[in-house]
Amino acid sequence: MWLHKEFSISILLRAWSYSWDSFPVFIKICFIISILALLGIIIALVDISVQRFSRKRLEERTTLLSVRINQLLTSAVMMEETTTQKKGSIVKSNFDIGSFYDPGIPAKEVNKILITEMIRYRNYFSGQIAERIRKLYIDLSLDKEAINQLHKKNWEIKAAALSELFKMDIEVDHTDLLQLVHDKNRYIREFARLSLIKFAKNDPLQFLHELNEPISQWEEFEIFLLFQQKKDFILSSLEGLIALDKEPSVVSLCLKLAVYFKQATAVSLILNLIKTPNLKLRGEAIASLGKLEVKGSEKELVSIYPEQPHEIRLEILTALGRIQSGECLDFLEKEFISSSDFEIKKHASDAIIKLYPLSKSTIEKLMHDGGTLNQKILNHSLDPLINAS
Amino acid sequence: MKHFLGRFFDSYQNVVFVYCCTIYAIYSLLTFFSYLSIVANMRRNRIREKLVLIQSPLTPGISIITGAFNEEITIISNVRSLLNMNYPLFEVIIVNDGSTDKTLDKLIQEFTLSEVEFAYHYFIPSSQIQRIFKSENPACSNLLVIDKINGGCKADAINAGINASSYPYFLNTDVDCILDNDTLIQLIQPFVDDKKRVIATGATLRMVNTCIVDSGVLVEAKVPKEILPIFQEIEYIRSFVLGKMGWNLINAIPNVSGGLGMFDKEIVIKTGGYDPNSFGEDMDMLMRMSKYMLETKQEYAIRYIPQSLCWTEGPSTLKVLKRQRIRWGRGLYQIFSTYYKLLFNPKYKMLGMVVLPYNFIFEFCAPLVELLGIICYIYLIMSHLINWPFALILLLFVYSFSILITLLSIVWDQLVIRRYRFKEVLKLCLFVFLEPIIYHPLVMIFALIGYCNQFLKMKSHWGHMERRGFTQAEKVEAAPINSSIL
Repeated sequence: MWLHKEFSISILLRAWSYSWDSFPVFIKICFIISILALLGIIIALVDISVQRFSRKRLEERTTLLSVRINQLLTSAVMMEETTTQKKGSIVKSNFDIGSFYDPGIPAKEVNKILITEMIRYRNYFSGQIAERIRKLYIDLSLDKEAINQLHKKNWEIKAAALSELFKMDIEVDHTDLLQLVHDKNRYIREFARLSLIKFAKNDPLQFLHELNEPISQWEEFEIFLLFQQKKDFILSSLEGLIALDKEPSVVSLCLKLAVYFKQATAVSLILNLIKTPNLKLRGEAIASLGKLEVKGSEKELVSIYPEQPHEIRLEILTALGRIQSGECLDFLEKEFISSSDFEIKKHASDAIIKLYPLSKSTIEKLMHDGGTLNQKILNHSLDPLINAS
Repeated sequence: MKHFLGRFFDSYQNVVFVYCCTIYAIYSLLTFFSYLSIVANMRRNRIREKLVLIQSPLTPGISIITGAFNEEITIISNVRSLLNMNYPLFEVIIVNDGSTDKTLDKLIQEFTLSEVEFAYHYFIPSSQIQRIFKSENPACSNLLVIDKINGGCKADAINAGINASSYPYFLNTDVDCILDNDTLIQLIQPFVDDKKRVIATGATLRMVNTCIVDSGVLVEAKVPKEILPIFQEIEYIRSFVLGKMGWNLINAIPNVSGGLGMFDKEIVIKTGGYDPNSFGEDMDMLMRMSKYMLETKQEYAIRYIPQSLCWTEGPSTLKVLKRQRIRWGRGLYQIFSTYYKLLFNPKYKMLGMVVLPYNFIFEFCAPLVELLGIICYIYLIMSHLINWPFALILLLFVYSFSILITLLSIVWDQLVIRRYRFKEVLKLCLFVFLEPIIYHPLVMIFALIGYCNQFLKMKSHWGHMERRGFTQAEKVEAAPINSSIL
């Protein structure tokens, strides 16, 4: 039986080799691709299994290690409070990182976990604890490693190192930063700019004067957060930054900063901007006037209102409500009654409600005389439940 | 006649061969592209600290909009899960689409809803609004419930929600979908971090059928026990992780799933909102948005992320699957009958020269080519004209390559998500070998029925997806989900 099988297979193989030469090219190609695909299937299945097992083992070990590092970090940081008071020692003495190096986990992985945990601690704690974590980071020479990585070719390593140093409040050499600001990778440029702002001795906005590329919204969020977290910070003049010839995203950021820091000196610059052809910027400038409650700007806003597109008109109405002088109450009332556009009515209504108690009699009159739609819109603006979110 | 048929099928074999090779070449390219896309996404995630979005006062607001029709079994836990999203500024808008059960009553009672005089305006068309409710509970102040007359489709409900929304972006999802807590953070990221104006983003969807869910939160992810949902899971992994992520690299995504997609509200309103008459309203919406951006000469992007953020209940009976796929088939037919002028039109750049041609040739025409191929095969067998060794080699070629592509999509998926146990991944891999034999022919037939129905303009309605509910965490032992199907 066995011999018979062998015999059959050999015959088949011989027949196959004879026929192979007579196969058309496309059949030969299909056959070769099929064999490669079958090999690919085997490799894919093996890869899934191997990856799963190796990752699972690594995950188990790193999870355990994270817990241990966490305990050590907590005790080291907490104990430092007592030891520092007594001897002025450093946290490092309580922190034996060597005990964590495991033959199963590369030293780099251990450092990575440690740094991740340190950053997490700094995100959750401020003041002395955050400072102690930073001190420990320096004592363990992790900062030096990160600084060395800034000179690596791989952009991901460089960006990660910059981000790490930034989060640990470690100042990077100014010359290095100036080089990194011109790096071809956007993430490196962004982190370098953030570091420049964070560690600027004089004017943190200096680099914005030379910036020609657009700032992404994400970077804007980060810069804004950074300014929010700066203690006792006084924003320098925004002259030259809130300007028609500047990159629009830079102007947009500066408008937000002017509002946040309530910079009165920026008002004249913002007023210049309300005539910019860039609609988005024009809208933002008008919104800024409202948020800064610039009394005296209402007349200007009302005068430009008729020639503005719809979205800018809405911004003007909102700004008039925010300014709260009540000088334009008649204008708002007129727009509310005469406009046939729902959104204009709605924004005018919101603005009138914001002007309460100055607008008390106007609201009563509109509620009494207005049609069903007008009453509904006013009720919408007045309803605390609707406006609660 | 026999001679003519013989010659026709002979030529057709060559056409199918070229067609097959082209599609496999594209799949190979997509596999490579999707790998690059996934790696880029993972790198970006390592660099970008999500905490920035949580802490920043500039983070844009998002409206979560979802329609609910007779969802009394799961509505409360699902709304609770939506209200617990990890994001600093959002609202949840539930559109009760004329439910005939106690969906609305349950919502009113659970969230202490009170009717408000909401100045509602129809910016985009939807059926008539009856009442609007807001919660009196300060903890749910971001919940808005719209009660409207049944519009017969999801598009109508979502349009109603868009009209009442207050934020510049909205998330379109199904109320029965289980969303990851970080869904909003993950999906908003491309909008605020891309160089181009992003008009829509999406993420991977998966089957929730056998997963363990507690109060609208996914506790344990499991590969479905039933046969049809397993095949759909495989289909989704291939479509999202490999297809969409591949197209993502060259900004040529044709569609953001109706189950989970975040959109730029301004563009959606400017293009008239979702079309209630469309059977493929999600793809239709994206087509119109892309067309609008191109016609107004604005640079735009549609992005996908590989993370699995949405777990949805897939059809577990043949009847429901058939209804769903017929609708999809009709939707695809509608798309090409509506946007045929864009096809191969260089004015529409990537949309006209890549997205639509690919979807027309390799998505729309595929069931037709396959059907004709099967007829050709049968004819050749019957007339003893078939060359069996060649036929078997060609079958092996088609089968092995399709298995390889699907397995690679599972490998790529494992790079991003490892929520399944190893045994379950192996189960998925096993079903990959059966998919082309059992599931694919079904899907092909249903698509063809859909084309015929649309061609003959047969009347159809959306139909309600019969929900079985999820396995609840505390009831795992007591009430396992029914696993008999087919």
